[in-house]
Amino acid sequence: MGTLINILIDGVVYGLLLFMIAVGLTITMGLMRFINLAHGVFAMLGGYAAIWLIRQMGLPWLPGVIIAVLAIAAISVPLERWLVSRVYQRPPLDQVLLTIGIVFCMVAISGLVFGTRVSSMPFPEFLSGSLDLGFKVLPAQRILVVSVGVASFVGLWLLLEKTRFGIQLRATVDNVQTASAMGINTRRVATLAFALGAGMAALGGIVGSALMPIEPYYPLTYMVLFLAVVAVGGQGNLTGTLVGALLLGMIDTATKYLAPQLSSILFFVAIIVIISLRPNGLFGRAAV
Amino acid sequence: MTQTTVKPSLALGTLHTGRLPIPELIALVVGLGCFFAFPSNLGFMTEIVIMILLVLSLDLLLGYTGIASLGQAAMFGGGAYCAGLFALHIHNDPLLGLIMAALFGGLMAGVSGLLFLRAHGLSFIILTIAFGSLTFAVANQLNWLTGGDDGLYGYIMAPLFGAFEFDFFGRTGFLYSLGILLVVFYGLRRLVNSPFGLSAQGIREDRQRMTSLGFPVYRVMLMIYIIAGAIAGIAGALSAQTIQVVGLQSLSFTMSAEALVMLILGGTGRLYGAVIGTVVFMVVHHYAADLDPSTWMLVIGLMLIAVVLFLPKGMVQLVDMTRNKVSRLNGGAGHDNSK
Amino acid sequence: MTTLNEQPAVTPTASRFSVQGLSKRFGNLVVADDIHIDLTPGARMALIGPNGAGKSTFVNLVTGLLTPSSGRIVLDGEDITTMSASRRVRNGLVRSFQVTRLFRELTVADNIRLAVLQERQQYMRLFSGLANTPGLDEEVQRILNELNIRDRASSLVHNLAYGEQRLVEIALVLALKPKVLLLDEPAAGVPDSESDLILEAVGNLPKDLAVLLIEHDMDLVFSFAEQIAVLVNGAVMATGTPQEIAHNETVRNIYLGKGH
Repeated sequence: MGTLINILIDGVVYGLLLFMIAVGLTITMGLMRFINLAHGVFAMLGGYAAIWLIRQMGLPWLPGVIIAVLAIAAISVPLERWLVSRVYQRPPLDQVLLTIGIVFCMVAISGLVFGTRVSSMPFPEFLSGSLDLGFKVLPAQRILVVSVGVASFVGLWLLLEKTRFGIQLRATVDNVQTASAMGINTRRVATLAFALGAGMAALGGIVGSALMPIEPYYPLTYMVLFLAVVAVGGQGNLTGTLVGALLLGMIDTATKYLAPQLSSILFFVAIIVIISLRPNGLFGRAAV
Repeated sequence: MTQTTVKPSLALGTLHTGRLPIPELIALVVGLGCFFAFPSNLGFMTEIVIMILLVLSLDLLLGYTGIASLGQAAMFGGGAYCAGLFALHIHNDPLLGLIMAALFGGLMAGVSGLLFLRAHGLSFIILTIAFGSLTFAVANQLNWLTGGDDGLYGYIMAPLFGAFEFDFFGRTGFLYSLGILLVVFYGLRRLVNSPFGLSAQGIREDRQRMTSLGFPVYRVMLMIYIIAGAIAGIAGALSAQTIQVVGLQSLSFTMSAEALVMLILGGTGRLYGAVIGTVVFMVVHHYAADLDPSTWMLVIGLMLIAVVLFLPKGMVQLVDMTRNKVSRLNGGAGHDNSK
Repeated sequence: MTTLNEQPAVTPTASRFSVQGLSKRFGNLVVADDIHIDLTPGARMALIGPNGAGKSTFVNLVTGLLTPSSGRIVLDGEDITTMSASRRVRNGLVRSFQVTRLFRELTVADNIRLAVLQERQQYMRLFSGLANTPGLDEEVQRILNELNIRDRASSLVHNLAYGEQRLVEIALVLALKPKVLLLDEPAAGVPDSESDLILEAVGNLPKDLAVLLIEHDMDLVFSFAEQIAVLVNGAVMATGTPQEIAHNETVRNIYLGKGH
């Protein structure tokens, strides 16, 4: 029973973290049918930026994190405009190759600049403690992940459902041609969505650094994981992504609790089984 | 005008070449030339030959059938471990080990392909990456069998054909690998120019249309996937047998990605593109050996980005461009069959 | 196979292909509503209907890309309702494509070769050269001659004029030796200067082949069809000879409109 509760709680924490990082991926894939293997780069860069701002520049924690997130979102704009958007119309393979190229470059540069070892994220005093729930002691950082994760989902939902940008975004996801015929500047929507996703990933990378440590191979280590969230949840589907992220977070946590020796094997088997059985996502339409 | 002068099969518009092993003979001459010219680099040249085999297997998948896999290292590493274990525990004859590895590579491809080939696009790519990660994790987990991080070693290959020892300088290893490469290359050339090969290209061009022509597309793709897996397994076996050690990196994502880089660099859908790309990549890698691993990774990354942006059809594109220019200079018109 | 078909005396009115009560619903949306269509060998029927009437849904149901909610599809007495799309083709139910869907990076001859290889079940020959495949080139040659595109054999398809591409499309379909052909807007997008080519090719289709023409172009429909079925809102609204359909008031109002 205790194990079950642990799996449940840690699984939710991990799932919400995956959601934060992968949600940008699901939006850009839904929008431009763009396969991005480099999305984890933004999470890693967010982590590095925050560490640098707080440790080297001496910024207080919260402003450091906010500036780091905004900086990564800003950096993603020229990247989308000048590099990524050039392969939107190209075959999936070109997108895969280009984004692997980006991953390799960023892994290499991070290694050269920050060293190959894990860089530890500073956290303020009030986040270093832990909370005793009675049946389980929960580190404050995990509570941070849960709160930021839930807030992100609600915020994104409101953004998509209630704002003008959200309507334009959903219309573009639905059909780029129609949206552009309706006078929506789909290029602008795509760039903004890309920046939003990059910022979300950076935020996830920062608050989740205790679970997914910041190191140069971060984008490669978690590549399958982020992509799998999108494949399971369905491209361009916000709720689907949340469900997919929670499911995968839960599976990963369960394997770590129940069979720590075999956890990565079992996890990959689970991913393979789920995606082979439902290649269009859990909520996807059947193949046309 | 043309109909009267050319052979019937050419008049019928086939772009496919004959069955004489001319390319293989050229490769043999070049290979032997290198053998005598660079006697101190045989180990490196063996590595090139092995990588060419792996990249050829990927070209069959991607270039001829349009199956974009990022997990071909699974079959390569699988073949390597199979050959290593076979030599260590059962029999150390190289050709027997090679056959076992080919079968094992084909089996891995068959089982995974059965599951994966129903998926398309993103899902298929993720499945192949995940399969690669899974095999890596399994090999790591079974360290009592595979040696884990230390690698699998301690086996000594029997002489090839019972006569040629695998010598310290790698002479036998190189000639053995070259011979296998030529045999596989000839087989592949026959394959891609056969009715089956044309069907594969039809699938690459338009899967759904092939279904509408009545082809059992899934079954054809599965066969191609198995053949490519067997070739990757052969490449892995050669690696295990000539280096006499198998490491986990033979199963890594980087291995799959590098093979893809070599293929794309050379150009897909032509067997010689795979050869050119691999040679160029490996030579650059060799001379960049002084770079630390991070810098080398940066070089690969930049190469990938540059190829996608500036040379989407690979280096064979340069060959075509030159050829077209030449034919235009010669007043040759209607050169629309550059393929 | 063809020799069997040349014995109409045995079962003169036998049905070659029939669609019986075919329906498709997505939730509450009915996109195909109890469709009945029957083709005898050699039938020349046209299926017409305004945009959104459900013509392409019908084609997808019949070819196996969509699974019907109810109803049966019968080919030569065999129920093929649940058969896979490619098996249906191998059994003789073939469609052509509305938008040209050819293998654009292959030559015209290789395009036709693919179809012939399937029809002759020779595509599993792994190592023998194409030129050594018995009967292959002769058959490709015959089809090229039949459609008068022999001198384009070595051209890559994407270098052909649009009308020529449509001819290659028809060549692919004929190479499969179908029993039933769904001819989906064969003249769509063809410029007037090339439309004669298409009319001629359609007119020369084998006599014992049952053809269902799905078409917008009324000139083609009335010059080709012996029977016309009118599809409106997923249901067959009227069936009859061209004369009957041309004089049917409801059809005129709903479909032919002011254009005619």
